[in-house]
Amino acid sequence: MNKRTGPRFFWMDVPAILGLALVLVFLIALSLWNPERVRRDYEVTAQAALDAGDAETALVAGQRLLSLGGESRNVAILVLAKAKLEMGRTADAWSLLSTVAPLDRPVFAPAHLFVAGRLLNSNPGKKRNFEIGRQIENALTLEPLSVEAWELLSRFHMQNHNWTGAKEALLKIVDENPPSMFPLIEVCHSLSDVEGANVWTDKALAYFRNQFESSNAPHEAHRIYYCEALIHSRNFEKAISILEAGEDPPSRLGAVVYRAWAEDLAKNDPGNLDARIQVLRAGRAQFPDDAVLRDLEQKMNR
Amino acid sequence: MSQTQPSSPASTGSTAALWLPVIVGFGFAPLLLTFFGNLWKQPEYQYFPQALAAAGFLAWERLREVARPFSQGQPVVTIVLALLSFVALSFGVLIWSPWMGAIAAFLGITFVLWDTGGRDLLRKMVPALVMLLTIIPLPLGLDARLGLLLREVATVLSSRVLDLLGVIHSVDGNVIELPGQRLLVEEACSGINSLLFVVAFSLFYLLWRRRKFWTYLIGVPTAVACVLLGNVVRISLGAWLLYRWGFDILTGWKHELLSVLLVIGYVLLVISMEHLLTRGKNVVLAHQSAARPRADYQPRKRVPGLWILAISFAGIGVLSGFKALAKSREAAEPLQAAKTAFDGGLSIPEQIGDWSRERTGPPRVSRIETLGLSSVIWNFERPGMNAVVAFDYPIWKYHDVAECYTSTGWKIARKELVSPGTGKPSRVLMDLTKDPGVHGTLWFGTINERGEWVDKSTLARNFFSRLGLMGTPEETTFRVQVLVVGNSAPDPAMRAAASQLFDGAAEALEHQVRGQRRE
Repeated sequence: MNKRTGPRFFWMDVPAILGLALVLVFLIALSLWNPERVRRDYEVTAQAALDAGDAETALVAGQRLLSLGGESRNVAILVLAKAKLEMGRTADAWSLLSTVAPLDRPVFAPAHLFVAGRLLNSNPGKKRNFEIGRQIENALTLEPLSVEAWELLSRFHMQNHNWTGAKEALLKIVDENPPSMFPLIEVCHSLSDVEGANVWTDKALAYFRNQFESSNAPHEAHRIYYCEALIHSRNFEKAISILEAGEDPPSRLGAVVYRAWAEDLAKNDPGNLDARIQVLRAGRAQFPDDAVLRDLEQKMNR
Repeated sequence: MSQTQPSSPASTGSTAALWLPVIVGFGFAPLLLTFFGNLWKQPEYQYFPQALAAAGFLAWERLREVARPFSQGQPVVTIVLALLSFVALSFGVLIWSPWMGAIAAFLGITFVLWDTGGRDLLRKMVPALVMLLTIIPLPLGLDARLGLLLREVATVLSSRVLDLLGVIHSVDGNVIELPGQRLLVEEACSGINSLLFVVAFSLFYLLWRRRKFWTYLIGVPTAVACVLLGNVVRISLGAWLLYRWGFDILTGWKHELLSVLLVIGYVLLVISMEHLLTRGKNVVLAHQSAARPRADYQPRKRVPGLWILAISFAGIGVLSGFKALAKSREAAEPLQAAKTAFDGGLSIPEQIGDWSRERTGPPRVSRIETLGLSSVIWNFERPGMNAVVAFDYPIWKYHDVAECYTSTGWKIARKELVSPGTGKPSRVLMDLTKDPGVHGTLWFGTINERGEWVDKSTLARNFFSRLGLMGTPEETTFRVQVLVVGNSAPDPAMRAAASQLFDGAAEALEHQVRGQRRE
């Protein structure tokens, strides 16, 4: 066997050097692996997938979160349940939800709220009301200052015509969550508290106008809230102009403004048919597909 | 003073040196043939012919360096080695353990070498003996456990690499799930096949190059690390390509090609690593170190009674030959024949009790929970329950299905043998749980190719069953599994329903296995 030393035989070392370099790179890469960062990434991925309606990706992300364990366990189970609901695997989903949102004890506030919201949206009967109440109660036990929980509680009371309860719930969060002023105005109307409704309307108008006008490039949400405040203050013309200055095509809220305007005219100035017809025609021109405006116009024509 | 001529005793010794290995070797032949037959059935050991050739080459090369005539070893050691080998062989034949036969043969080779050439010959033959050791599987199923461990490590490390590559995935036991797709990390991907071969090759190469001990300490572990890394790269790359571009390199011919390329890469790496470690320094070649004739030769008398022992080896060989013949008659058909016989031929009734078979047909799928060559799976349903029935075939050697389930993330809450009597087969019941809140009930039973239900070998996990020493674990078997998965702990009604489905499925399988045997 000949001696194989010197630069001529360097090529024989190349595979070993490459192999060792690969092992080194691999070890460095593995040392960069951070479970906390992976967990955070997967939480974001899972939420994004759920928002996009991509249940399969959400399911995989949820499973990965679950395997990472730790604090993400409840989040993971909730993600899995939501993904399975999206995929139509309702029995599996509700089984998972029963582990993170049981009725008998508070476990994970977002899960309790999700279950309560889901039940609330499904037009529950009286039988389910107890369950919804308990779920919200469990969430509030865990997070007493949760805006979402109080908002859901107000919706629950409103659905059950418990206007006083709804008002109490909304008053708890209105400072922190100004859009709660809008349901509060509705609740005041339902309680025949005209003075209260006016007070909250003025507050909403002042607050959202300020929000809208104080920013150089108004956020779309500010525009919509301001518009909603204008509807409550019956300043429909301005609401329309504010919306038209916004995004193109105009927000669907425009149709709501025209409807509210026409209904307001019918209620407060029933004899002024010309004004009503003009509003409806303008609304139809802007939103030809809006069924409510079409029905109102047909009714007027008759 | 006249010198004693070694010609006469040496010639007697050389005659003995010729005949002794032949007679002793005859004693090992039946068990060794069975041993090699068994090795061939395991893909991870299919390199054994090359390993035997390598051992022979090393032996031939080193033999030239031993001074002639050979100087026999101490008789006491000869007797001890011979007796150890004889006892091991007798025990191996008694319980019919080819593995024990291989150990006995190894001791037998050592004994013959010692007897023939003493310490000098044995020392020179150590490299060849080391090569022989690489083909003897680890006992107590440790090699299978090593394979599972490697698979687990490969999956976990691949998962981390996929995290770094931004591939959304989750790991469920040995399954990597991608959105809409499942990747099974199969045995071939675990690296066990390449690992054993690469360890054997790196040992051979370093032994052949006569490197110092420290090069083994660096060279062999580096080769092992590269095999592990190679498999991680293969799995990660496969998952990444599938995720990004839907390109599958983990199945079919692409998988096979990649395996071959990887093994070539490992071999090059071993050669290159040796060169890097030793800077290509020269080695002492066989012809350069060839021994001169021994001048101080002191012939020793042959160990008394050794020929009797050698003939006893031959006697054991005759006995084990008859036993091997009997075993081969009662043994199962070759695996592939069994597979061919049942491929496409297994069926199950459409209705078993109040269970109805789903009309989607029996998909032929490769499931991670089965280590048989093939599995046929049917979905059954009854009001409020769904179940999966699987026939796995043909299974060879002891195999505990529980390990397949634990490797896919299930935890075993209960495992027991249920013997209902009244002519129904015994079956193993396992209650399984999986996070989060998934419950499973598994019933399984094993039938051998004679149509007899085997229960002990599927349940017992004691020392003997793991060694494969007792019972009939090395026959070809077929397994029926019924798995019911739900969101709540199984209740008696659910168990009864699953048991009813198991009975129906087991009866169908038994009927077909017996029918096949008659044909």
